[in-house]
Amino acid sequence: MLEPGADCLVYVDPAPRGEWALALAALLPGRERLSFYLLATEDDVRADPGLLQRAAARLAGAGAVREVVRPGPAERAVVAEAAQRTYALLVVPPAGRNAIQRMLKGSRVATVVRTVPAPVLIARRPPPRLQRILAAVSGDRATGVVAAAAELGGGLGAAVDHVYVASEVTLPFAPEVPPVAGAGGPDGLAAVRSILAERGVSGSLLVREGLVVDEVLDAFDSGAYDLLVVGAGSGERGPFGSEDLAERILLGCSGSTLVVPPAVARGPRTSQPD
Amino acid sequence: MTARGVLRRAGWLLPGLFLFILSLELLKKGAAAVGPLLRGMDVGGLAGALGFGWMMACVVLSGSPVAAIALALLASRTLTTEEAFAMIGGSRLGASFVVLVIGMLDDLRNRRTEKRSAYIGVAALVSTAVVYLPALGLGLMALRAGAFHGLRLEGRDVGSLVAAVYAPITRLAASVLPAWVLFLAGIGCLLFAFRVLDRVLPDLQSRPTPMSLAGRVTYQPWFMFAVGLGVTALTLSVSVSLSLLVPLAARGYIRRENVVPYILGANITTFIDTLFAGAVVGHPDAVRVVAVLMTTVTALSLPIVFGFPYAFERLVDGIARGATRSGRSVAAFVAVLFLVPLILMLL
Repeated sequence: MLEPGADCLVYVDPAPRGEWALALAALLPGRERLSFYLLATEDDVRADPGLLQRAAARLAGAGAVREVVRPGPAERAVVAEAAQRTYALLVVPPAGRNAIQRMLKGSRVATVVRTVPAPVLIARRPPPRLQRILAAVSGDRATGVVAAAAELGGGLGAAVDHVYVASEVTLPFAPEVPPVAGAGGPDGLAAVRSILAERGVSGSLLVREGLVVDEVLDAFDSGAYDLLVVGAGSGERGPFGSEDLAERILLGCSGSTLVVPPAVARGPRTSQPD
Repeated sequence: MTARGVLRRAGWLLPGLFLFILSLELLKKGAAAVGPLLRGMDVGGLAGALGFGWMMACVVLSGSPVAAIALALLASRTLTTEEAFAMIGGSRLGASFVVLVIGMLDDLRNRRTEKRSAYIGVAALVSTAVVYLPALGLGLMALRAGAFHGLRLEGRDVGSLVAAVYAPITRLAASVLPAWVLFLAGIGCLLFAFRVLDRVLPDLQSRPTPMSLAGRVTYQPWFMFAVGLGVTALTLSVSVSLSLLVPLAARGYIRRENVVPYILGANITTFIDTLFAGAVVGHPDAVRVVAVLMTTVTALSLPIVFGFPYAFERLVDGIARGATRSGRSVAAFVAVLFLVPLILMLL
């Protein structure tokens, strides 16, 4: 994901939460070999001409820092810029909209995650160091999530744990079907265990039972993790009426979240699409 | 489905309707025997009718026949309008209770210690109770305020047609059978009518449906709500539409995120056959009580589905997980809930 020379896009928000994105970008492993593109909207730069220079100073020591200005609003600027260049990672702070504002204007981070086919790091109250990473491996994109979490954890020297949530319940008098690797039902856990074993991943696998969003967020909060890694949903390619749980997880997470898109994250199909 | 298949299914419609109306007429004729029985059991008032509907749905393993019986008892003046209303509400709670008992038996049979299928039953019962209990209270106020006053679906022509066709049969039956036998025959005929009407329903199992992915894909709450509405509009019974999930959901699993909105939708359209029964029993309030309950249930379900589906799911999931944590906790939950209708009947 973050190979030497890779390009990273950081959206510079003039609001105080814009600092979160810069602080998190500064924590990325191997940043001295990365190229950072600092993006701001025309309106924000007009209102504060020194915005991007100050942001660049926050990333001193990076391989390269370039400034980009695009017409707003923020999500449109990020999506347009991501369409122009292949970025290895986007770092975006949330807009801080409440539920009603999200209903009216949509969610900035959800729009970016849904539209951009690159990993998106949603920066939210980053700690001084990323020491504990939780990877949600309930989805059919477990392989990519495991790989992304392992790469970040290795680069940062952080401990990586994985959480699998079994959300399926048995229907009364359903026929007993023997487990099939990679299929639905409880076989997803076996598939995740096999992915972890194949990649020689250390760290614990937390197995929980319940509603996926609630269990992942609870595991994140109760384990005092610094970063959550999830696989993005299938977006418009999912069956009609399907729901992207990754969106709900990233909107509800109290900390920073790395969303790994389907193209990067797709692996052997397990039980859940989140 | 081929045209021949459609015709074959449609061919069951007339016998099904004939038996359905016949059963209601038999129940009305035999209801005279039920009044003293209810009084003998000291069943009366709203709580008693609620408990009686609940208990009866447990006995006949379905809610729809009990709701139809409540309307027949209303038409024969054995129950008041409010008691019939409460009994119909109780029948829905009993139908959910049946799903729970079936799930518990399935877990016992398979000696399951995790992913218990009793979860579905608890979720069905809790979702139904949380919506229906306030809906019954609201509905009662609406009934007393005269909501839907004068709402009729039956017409003079239908009434005279029913009388012309069924009066000779029920008169003959009444002349040779005691009232309580007529009532029991009515229940048997009603259950048989539902089985015949099942043959009219489209074969959902042979078609790809959203439910075949419900074990793997999480759907939006509004979507599963619509699926629950649609499937139960065809099957007419929550327990049947829930049991339909077994062959439809791939490999016998459903994701718990999909369960609650499906049940909320199913709980609304399950009244369609009861509305029809209300139209043919010939009591001025029969359609009204069903319409009031259907409206209040819908009015309480829609904000849940479109406003705070996840909080509601969390509530139901928390209770269902707690109740199905062990075999003992399921048994305790079922035992307590079995006592509720009994206590209501004794109040």
